[in-house]
Amino acid sequence: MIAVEFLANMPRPDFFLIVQKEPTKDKDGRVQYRLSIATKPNVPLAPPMLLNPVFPETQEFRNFLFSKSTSQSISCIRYPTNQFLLVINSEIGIMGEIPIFKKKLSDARVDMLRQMITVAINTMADEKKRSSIRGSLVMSEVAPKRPLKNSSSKVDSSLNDEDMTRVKERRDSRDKVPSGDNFKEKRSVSSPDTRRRELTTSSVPASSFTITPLPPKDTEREESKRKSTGSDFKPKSPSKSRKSTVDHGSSNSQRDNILLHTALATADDG
Amino acid sequence: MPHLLGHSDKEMLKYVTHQIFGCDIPISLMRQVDSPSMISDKIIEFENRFHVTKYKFGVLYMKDGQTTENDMYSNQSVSKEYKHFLRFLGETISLDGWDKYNGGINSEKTKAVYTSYYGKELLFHVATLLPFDSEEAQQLERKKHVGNDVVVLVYKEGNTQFDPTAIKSQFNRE
Repeated sequence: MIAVEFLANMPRPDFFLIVQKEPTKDKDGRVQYRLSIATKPNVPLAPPMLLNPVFPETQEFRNFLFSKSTSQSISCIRYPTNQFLLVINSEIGIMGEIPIFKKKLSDARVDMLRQMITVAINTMADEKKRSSIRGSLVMSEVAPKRPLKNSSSKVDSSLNDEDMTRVKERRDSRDKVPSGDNFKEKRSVSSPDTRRRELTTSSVPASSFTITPLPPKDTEREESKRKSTGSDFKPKSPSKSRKSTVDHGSSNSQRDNILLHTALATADDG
Repeated sequence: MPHLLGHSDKEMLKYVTHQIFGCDIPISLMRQVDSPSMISDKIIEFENRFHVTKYKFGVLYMKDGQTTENDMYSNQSVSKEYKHFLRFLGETISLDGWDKYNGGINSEKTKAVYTSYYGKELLFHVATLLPFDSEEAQQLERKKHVGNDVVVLVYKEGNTQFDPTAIKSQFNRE
């Protein structure tokens, strides 16, 4: 529909064949005409090309006139001018040239990114809630099966609680490493002006660590080690576990902030 | 290869059409050809649909010293050389009871120049033959036809230069 409207609004005529009578006559006494061509900008030219501009009044001149005008009219209709193309590919044609459009489009992109990121964060939070509920369910389901598998000598009636504490310890060990001294110091030291850059630089290790889970074999070994030296870990665990849950949430929120900042920084650059 | 996959003709047809056209064509659209001359007839019929046989062009008369389009459209008196050139282009016809291509001119009182050229019908909207209105400066009755033609022949007299941006159609008002 748009294309039809623009075709109707296309500036016409595009092509002019200018005929001018020459003062002198031919050898045979025939009238001579001088042909010249004038076009509007960006009009595609079509054969036959004008090589010798002066024609005597013959059938050859007639043929040239008619063939030129017919082929030119077809080419003008089938391959419209660049003005027509510029309007359709507005982002390609106009945005690069006019600064006002560039600014507005970049602002619109930043707004769109913000909206997208907020939506993504909300969905992530919902998923976390669901996953936490599922996890608790799974724990309750799995817990009674374990004593059957690990039917070792050290099984007690309080195995459920011990397992829970161990899982929390593992979480602690996960959170400790990325939120280590370097990361926290940087955040505390950084001034608000240089904050964004540091966040972008520090975002890479934190995200990579959180994404990659620990391999199962190592955890089993750790468990076995802890079982062997179980008494040392027990007193620390309850106090730290509460902290760890809080830290876990805070680290995730930090990560989200970092993501937002990085996205905005890239949007500003690009 | 198709013969390794199966013996059915449908599969062979699918393979060949995919090789030629680069996409799958449904077999329900294919027809069996009775005689080999039918193919060439069908192809000619198909290509004739894209063949444009009717053309319309504009003819402007530009006197010495005329620069604006209103001056060119409001020309009434013409020279002998211009009439000679119109006769060279084709025969002037009156559109009253005209059966052939009329180039979108509805009023029957006007005249135009018509020629046939290698099976094509050419009709020239000659500005000086179209109706003249003494009250209108823009001469919309002439501009309506000449200003919407893609190709315009300009018969120029004198040494003033022709400026293509001076000619504007009724849509292009800038």
